[in-house]
Amino acid sequence: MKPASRFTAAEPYLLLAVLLCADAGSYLCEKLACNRTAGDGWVFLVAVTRQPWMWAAWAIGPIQLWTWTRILGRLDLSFAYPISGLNTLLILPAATLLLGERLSWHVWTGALLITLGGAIIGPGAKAHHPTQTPPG
Amino acid sequence: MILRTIALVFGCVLLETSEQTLYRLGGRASGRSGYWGYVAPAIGGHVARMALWYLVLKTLPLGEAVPLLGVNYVTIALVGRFVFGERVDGRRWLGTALVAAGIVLVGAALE
Repeated sequence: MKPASRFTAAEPYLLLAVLLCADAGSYLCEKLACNRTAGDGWVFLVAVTRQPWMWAAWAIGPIQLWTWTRILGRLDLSFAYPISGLNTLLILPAATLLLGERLSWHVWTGALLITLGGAIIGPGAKAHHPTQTPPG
Repeated sequence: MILRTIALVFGCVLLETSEQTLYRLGGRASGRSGYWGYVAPAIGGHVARMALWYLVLKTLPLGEAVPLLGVNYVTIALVGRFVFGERVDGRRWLGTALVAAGIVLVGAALE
């Protein structure tokens, strides 16, 4: 019984780690697809669905949906959501290194503030998130 | 052009907040039909949000577009507080204020 309950307690956090990596990968694939597509409006939206990078992003989608709904079954939305936003810390370096984007100091500072704000919002809810009460 | 992009980003935020609310309700619902009653409309909203998001990504660098989605922190905290009755204490409101300051900074970099 004990190992099972210990796993149950850790599971939402393992799922969050999986979700962070899946989110970052999905964003990169989407951006690559959009960069490679010409046109605007509906023409653009139709053309972008033909990009293999977009298919890769969509392939990640079911993983994101499954992990996210499992996480939300255990944790408060306003606790889990800011943690899921830590992917910004992965995305800025990835966009700079892999996509060659040049981001101004405004963006780096702002992204750090947003991530910090998210981290502060998260632990504040930890003391009363539902995993500490018996599962319903 | 920039106003259009900002409008698209806010559309993404509105749809995402609605989606997360539905996912949360689905995660708490009992039974398969209860779950899909919430998750199915959320998936519909997700498709609409994808279209808006690709139009955003076409104009903005990924490193600017993703931080802007942080507006969601604010809207999600409000839903947690007013829809689900989750406690939002002073510390979390401070976090929300930091997020808002960050959004202003990133927004200032937009051209």
